[in-house]
Parts: sequence; structure tokens; C-alpha cells
Amino acid sequence: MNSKKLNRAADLAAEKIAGGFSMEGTDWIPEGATQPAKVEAEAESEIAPDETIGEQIKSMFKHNKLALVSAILIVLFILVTVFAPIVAPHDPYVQDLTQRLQGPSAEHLLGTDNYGRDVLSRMLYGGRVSLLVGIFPTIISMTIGTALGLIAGFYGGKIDSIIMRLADVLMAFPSLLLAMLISYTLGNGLLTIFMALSVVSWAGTARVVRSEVLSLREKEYVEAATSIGVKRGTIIRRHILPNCVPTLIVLFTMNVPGNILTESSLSFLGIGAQPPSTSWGLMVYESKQYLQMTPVSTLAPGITILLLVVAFNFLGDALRDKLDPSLKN
Amino acid sequence: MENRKVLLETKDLTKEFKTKSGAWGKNKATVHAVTDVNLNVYEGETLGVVGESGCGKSTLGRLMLRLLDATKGEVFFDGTELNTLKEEELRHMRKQMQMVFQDPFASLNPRLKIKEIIAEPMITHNMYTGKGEMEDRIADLLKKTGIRPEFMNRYPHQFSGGQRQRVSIARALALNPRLVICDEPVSALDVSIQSQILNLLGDLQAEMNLTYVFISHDLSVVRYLSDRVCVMFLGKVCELGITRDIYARPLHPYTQFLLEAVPIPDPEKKKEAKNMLSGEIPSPVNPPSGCYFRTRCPYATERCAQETPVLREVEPDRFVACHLMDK
Amino acid sequence: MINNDSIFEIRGLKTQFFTSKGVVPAVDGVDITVRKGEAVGLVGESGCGKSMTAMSVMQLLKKPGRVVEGTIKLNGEDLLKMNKREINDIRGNRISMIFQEPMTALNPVYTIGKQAMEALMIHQKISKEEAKAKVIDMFAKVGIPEPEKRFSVYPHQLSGGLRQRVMIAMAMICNPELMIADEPTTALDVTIEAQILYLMNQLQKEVGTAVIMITHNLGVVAESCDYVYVMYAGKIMEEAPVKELFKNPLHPYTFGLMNSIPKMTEVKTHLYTIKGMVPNLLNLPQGCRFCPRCDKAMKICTMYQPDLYELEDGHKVRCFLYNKEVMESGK
Repeated sequence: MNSKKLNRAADLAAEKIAGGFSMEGTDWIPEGATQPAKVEAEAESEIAPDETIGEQIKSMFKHNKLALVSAILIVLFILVTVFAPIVAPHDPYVQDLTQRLQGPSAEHLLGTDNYGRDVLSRMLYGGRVSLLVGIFPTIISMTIGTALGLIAGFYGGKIDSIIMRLADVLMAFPSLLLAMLISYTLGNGLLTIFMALSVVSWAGTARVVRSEVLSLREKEYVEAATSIGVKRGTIIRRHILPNCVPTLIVLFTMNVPGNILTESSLSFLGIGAQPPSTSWGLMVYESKQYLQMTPVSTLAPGITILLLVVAFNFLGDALRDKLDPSLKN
Repeated sequence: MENRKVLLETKDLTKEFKTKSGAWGKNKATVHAVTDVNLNVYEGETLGVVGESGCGKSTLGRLMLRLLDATKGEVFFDGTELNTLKEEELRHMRKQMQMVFQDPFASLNPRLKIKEIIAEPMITHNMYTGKGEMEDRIADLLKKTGIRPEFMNRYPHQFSGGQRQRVSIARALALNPRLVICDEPVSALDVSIQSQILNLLGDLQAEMNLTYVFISHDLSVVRYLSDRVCVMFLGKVCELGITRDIYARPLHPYTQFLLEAVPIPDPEKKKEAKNMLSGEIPSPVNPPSGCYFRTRCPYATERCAQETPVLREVEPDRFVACHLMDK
Repeated sequence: MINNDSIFEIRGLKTQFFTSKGVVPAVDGVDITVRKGEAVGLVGESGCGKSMTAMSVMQLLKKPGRVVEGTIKLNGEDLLKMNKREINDIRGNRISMIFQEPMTALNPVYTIGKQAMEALMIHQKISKEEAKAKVIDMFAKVGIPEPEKRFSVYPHQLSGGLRQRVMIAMAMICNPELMIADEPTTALDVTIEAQILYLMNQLQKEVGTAVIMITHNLGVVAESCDYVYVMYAGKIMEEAPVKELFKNPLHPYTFGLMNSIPKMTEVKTHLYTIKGMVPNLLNLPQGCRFCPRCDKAMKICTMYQPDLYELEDGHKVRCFLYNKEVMESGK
């Protein structure tokens, strides 16, 4: 953190630039000095090198190995679950009661479960549910939250009060309980989980976006746009929303593991994915009673959740440090 | 002076900010940011507005453009009252009046290219339709303000403070405005850059026949650029007149102390003991009765506490708000 | 000049920042001498290394910055050779510092009286009551009205001017030999600035503390300093007694600086400007650091770095125009 700030200070120090005009009154020069030609009102000739968001992220990975490892891990998880039918060594639904609760072996790398199904294959398929539930409800809830946060922050007044009180109520309500309530009324299933998670978690995004908008609204470039005569909708679209993007990226990397965990909790409570289909949370739930007999197959899905959540958090932290506009001029 | 055209006129312009604090917003306080300001800005001139922090000079600048809504009073731009305009009418009016801001790091959107920043006013007001035409115009504006046109595809953070202020000026000039309000445009810049921007503003004024309202706390900068100066204290104008006259012979006690306080870069002129103002600037939440300056003024009398002095013409083109002028 | 015995000497100070993009030579071989009771000005624009010089003296540099070379001697003792305890004994006691923004230099959760007492209690073994009496005394001296009442007030309850007075009281309370003031009036209004400068001058005369005044404002230097150093891109470009420097600025940079500020007494004309830009400290020109912006640049300036040449009457300037051999050879 410190080194970053000082780097920036040093960069700034090295960045003092000027333009030029001709000079008058040269009678003070000692004799013998060469007289330069008058300088035209020339432009500043040097500016700092270009750094796009892509290059910033590249340099982040170069300097932050933890972020790199996290990103690789996340991509790897996504790839193997997407290609689960190709990667998986066994059919995840085929039961073989003769092979119940086996430890790891060459045949079953992570052992088998209570019904003799291959744990590794089930994890690959279960990961599809977990990742899907992690990513899509996050996108939905963040879209809702961003829109409401933008409106609340920019227009203020009564609209702001209504939206934010609603968000307060939602946040005051235990989110797990609310999600359970929704799934009990709408019945179990993936779609219900999607809806439950979307409804529950927009409030957090709305709050963060609103506070971001409140500070962006006071920025001089927004005032400048107003003074130019730019319409309010355009101001939101061109000047406010793009400057929320770094915050939104960070929020996304924090919300995804949150939703994965909530889904795990819901599945663990029996509301999420329904057997025989599975998710990592459900796998932990199903195998918890066999912990002492086959620790590897029980712990594997739990550790996977842990790894993925930690990877998302590390990546989110690194992105925040890199993209935080307050650290950049 | 009578034959000069008034471009902008303010009448009893007042702005109060209400603040709330306490659990239920019960402790309300009113900040008197600008109080009863009557000013004329003539076409082609530079009106300097000086004062210390919290004197309301920036608020006044924003009221003049109706970036803030006035609590009371009127602003006439070329005869049109701005506060009664509807949003759409006001948007069209903005073509003629622009602003240059103080902080060159905050006044440009970091996510837009220089090209897009300068194009924004022109797109907003449908000035150029052809893409080539627009680019030519942007290149022209950049050249005028001393930035190489090749840099138009770069982002603001690649530029230094002085360069950004040039971009900011280019944006303000894109619509060929008649009035430009400069809010401390050089106070965030280093000395050597400051003089470049001041020269640039001077050159552009001559070239484009601009009218400036130049807001600054720096008395020497105002001296350099302004034709007339308006000295503000705690939201009120205390003295207004031709720059040369005011600097040579300040009439209001506050102006006198203000000019005396400026450190002069000449050790030969160093005075052993300055004639100094004592005390602090009073709070705009709870200003003193009568004349706002009386708590710091060594000449204050009974009358100053009871009666508010009015800005009036004591000499041709010289306005002062002080009871001492009645003698 | 008051007398000639120097109490504080910086010799060949080099402070560098080891950044990911390379080594930034923020301070590059700076010599500064402060005599007893003298006020020395260190002028330059932002990024010239003037604040970094102060930070090096106080050893407040943060990573990746580090002093790599040089000596900093207070009455003959080298500060750079001291251990942490010895340094702490000097900081705030024999050398004190005032910052630009008093609000960030004061801790918001303690009363100003408590904070002022802290330095006293650490450095002088005195009782609480004595310390309090001394602090109140000092508050009165720096012109804080009703010092007994203000003793138990929090920083945010004071105006900027009063906060800076508190900072000065805290800096002066141990009667330091040297006080470093880093842009002490930059954040203040003109009328308050005049008060603070006057106060500092008075205290300095009364107590005999030497002062290093770091500022970008030539007006402040002219009014409050005896001797001036002009800094540019990490190096001292020119040094002279204040009257000499303002009467006769020799270095093209100093000349440019002085003429680019608008004067209170002059009418509207074109201002003098310095062309070009401050060099990137990561990519300095081979020759003189000011060369790319200099109107008087000669061939030699692009190739070699000039030394600080001493002329008669102690005026020193880092410019080949004042080197006889160079000028006579006619390059």
C-alpha cells in the first residue's frame, strides 16, 4: 500500500510538464552565451505512457503472483466444470453399491460416496451448479442493485429514501431465512435459488453504488458536463456509470463466492440442488455422516468451495488495489 | 462605462445552504454563502473576484451560471433571466457561457479520451455533424490551447496538471462561448506553469473576444488579468472598481488589509511590522450583525454593529460598502 | 547574516526511491548549511525534492525511499549514524517540524493541550503540572486567545490559523535548535498567512531558533528568510543571501521563476514563462537538468553537468554561464 502511494508520488514528481512561449528581456545574459532562437508557442512534447485497463491488469498479474494463481485457479475450475462430460472419468449418476464409501484409488481418485458414485465426477458436475449459482444471480442482483443505486444516488430526495429504506429492510432480514422463505413458497429447484439469491443480494450493491454515485456526483467533471448542457441521462451513462466500473468489478468478485456459500448453505439445508443432481454444498451435506470413514471424499467438496472462495477474494483484493481510481492520479 | 454593454447582471443574488445535524435533523443551521450581490459584467472585460476561503466567490460563480439555484435574486445573461428558465431552455443557454474549474485532476472524466471530452459540448449542442469536421475542430482547439493534436486519443491521466488545464480550457471554448467563468484556474498549478496558463487565457480573450469572470484568492494573479476587481468578504461584496485604482488606493478597510498581507517577493520592500488584521474570519453560519467585517475592523464603531452598510458608488466606477465612506 | 557558526550541515545528501520503474533520485547531492538563529529558505516547485530533503533530515522517509549517501550534522553529530533511540531524542526536541496541513498533523482524538504536553513529557523529565503550565504559557506566546480554556479543546474545533499556531507552539516548546517548516502557510488565507509568518519571525528572533523554510512561494521567502537555496529536479541550482538573490538572480531557472509570477505593482502585460517541462526523474538529461528548458543553453550544457560555482560574495550558481574557463573557450 505504502509503496504504491510512494511510487505514485515519485511518478507524479517525475511528471511535471510545461508548455512554452517566447521570452522577452534577454539583456541580463552575460556575454558569450549563445542566443537561442525564439521558441514558438509549442506544445508540450511529452506525456505519460498509455495504460489501458487491460495493461493494468497485466501488470497486476506480473507483480502480484497470488492474484495470478487465484485467476488461474478460477479459470481452471470454470473450464473443468464446463467440460465435465469430457473430463469426468465416470458417470456421476451411476450407482454401484458394491463400491460404497471407498477411499481414493486409481479408479476413483477421490473415492466414492454412499451409493458408490465417483466423487470426483460428481464434483465436476456439482461444480456446474455451484458456479452457475455463483455467477448468474450475482449478475442479476448486481444489475438491479446498480440501476437502483444510480437512481437513488443521482436523483436523491424521495426516490432515494424509498429505495434505500427498502434496501435497509432487506439487509435487516436474515438473508438465509429470506432465501428459505422464497424457496418454500416457490418450491425447490435451481430457478428458485436463482431468484432467491438475486432478490436477497441486490441491496448491498445498491448501497455501494449509491455511495459511489454520491461522491462522483460532486466531481468537477460532472459539474463541467452540467455546465456544458449535457442531459442528465447522458451524464449518468457517460460520466457516472463508467467510473463505478472498478467498484463493480471488485463487488462482483466478492459477491460470487458469497452466493456460492449461500447456495452451499441452502443445499446443506436441503433447499438447493435436488438429488440426484448435486452441488458442492449438497455433497458436503450428503457425506457428512461418513466423515470418519472416508475423510477424503467428504472434505474434497468443502475444500474446493474454500479454495474457490479464497481465490475470488484474493483476486478481488488485487483488482481493487489496481483499479481504485484514488490511487491513480 | 455607460456605453459598454452589460453581458451579465446579478440582482440581490443570495444563496443560503441549509444544513441539518442531530438525530432527526433538528439542529438546522443556515450558511449564508452569498448575500445580496449586485454586479454587472461588461462584454469583453475581465472581472476579478477575490476573497479568502469561504467568502462565497466560488458559489457566486456557480450562481452566475445557474449551476446552483439561487435562494433569492436574479441573474440576467444578455437580458434573459436564468432562474426562470426551464431545463431545456437553460441547456441551450449554456452554449454561451462556460466554466473552467480549479482542479485539473478532477475536472476531466478519467474514462474519456481527450477527444471525447472536447467533443462532448459540440455533440450536446449538435454543432458538427461530420466526423471529419469535428476532428478538425478538436485539433484546432488543441492547437490553440498549446497541446499537440496527436494527443487527442490519449486519456487525461497521461497529462500533467498544466496540460489538463489546457484541455479544460479547450473544452470551455469549443462552443465559442461569450462568457467564461474561471474558478481558480491556476491555483493548483506550479509557478512556472501558472504563468503559461495566465498568458494563454489572456491571448484567447483577445483572440476570441471573451468575457471572463476570474475567481481567485491570489491577489497578484487577479491584478494581472482583471480589468475590474470585486472584493468579497463573507458572501458580500465590500469593494468593486477598476483594478488599477483599487490596488493603488483601496478604500474599504478589508481591501486595505488584504493587499497589505500579500507577501511581496522583494526583500528590499520587507516591512518590519506589517499592518495586520487580527482575529479569524467569522463563521458564515452565524455572521455578526451589521457589517460582517466589523469584528476584525479596527475602525469599527457603534453604527457598524447596528446598520448594514450598502454597496454604493463613492466615486465614478468605484463601489464601497462601508460606513466610513459617509464622512 | 547573524554570525558564521553553522549549527546544522547537510553534505552530499542523496535520497532515492527504489520504485518498480527504476531508481528515482529525489534528492541528488544536496549541501545545506544553517547558521545559528538564521532562517534559510528552500524554494522550488512541486517534485523538486525540497520536502524529501526535510523528510530525510527527520528520517521520516517511507519505503521505497532511502538516504543512500551523505551526512546530516547537527552541531557536529551525524544524524544518519544514530540509532532509533538517539533519533527520537532529537526529533521534536532539538529539531522540530511544522507541516503544511495542521489538521492531518494533529491527532483528532486528543485535546491540543495533551498533544503539546506529550513532547515536553518525553523529552524533559518534568511533572504533569509543570508541563501543563509550560504549554499554557507557550499557547499564550503563539497568540492563542484564552490559552487555559483552549488547552482542553480538540483540533477540529479550531480554525486553520489557530491549528497552525498550535503546531508552532508544539514545535517550539522544547526550544529546538532547528525548526523545519514545510509549506507552513500554503493552506492558509492571506491575512492569516501574514499573521503566522509574523509570529514565526518574532519567535525566531526571540528564541534564536534556526529555521529551514520550505516553500514554493517566493513572496514568503523574501519576507521571512535570510539565505535562500533554489532547488530543481533534486539539485541545488543557486544559493545566495536573500537580498542578493532577488536583486541578482543568476541561474536562468531562478530568473524564470521570479519573472513568471505576476507582480502586484505591474499592469497587464505578457508574463515571462519557462518553456518545456521538468525532466522525468527516471530519465534525466545527460547534461544540466535545466538544459532542455533553458533559453541560454549552450552545447556544453547538453553534455556535462555543471558544478555549483562560487562567485564573489558567496553567491553560488550551478550554471556554465558562470564558469570562466567554459565561457572563455567560447563554446
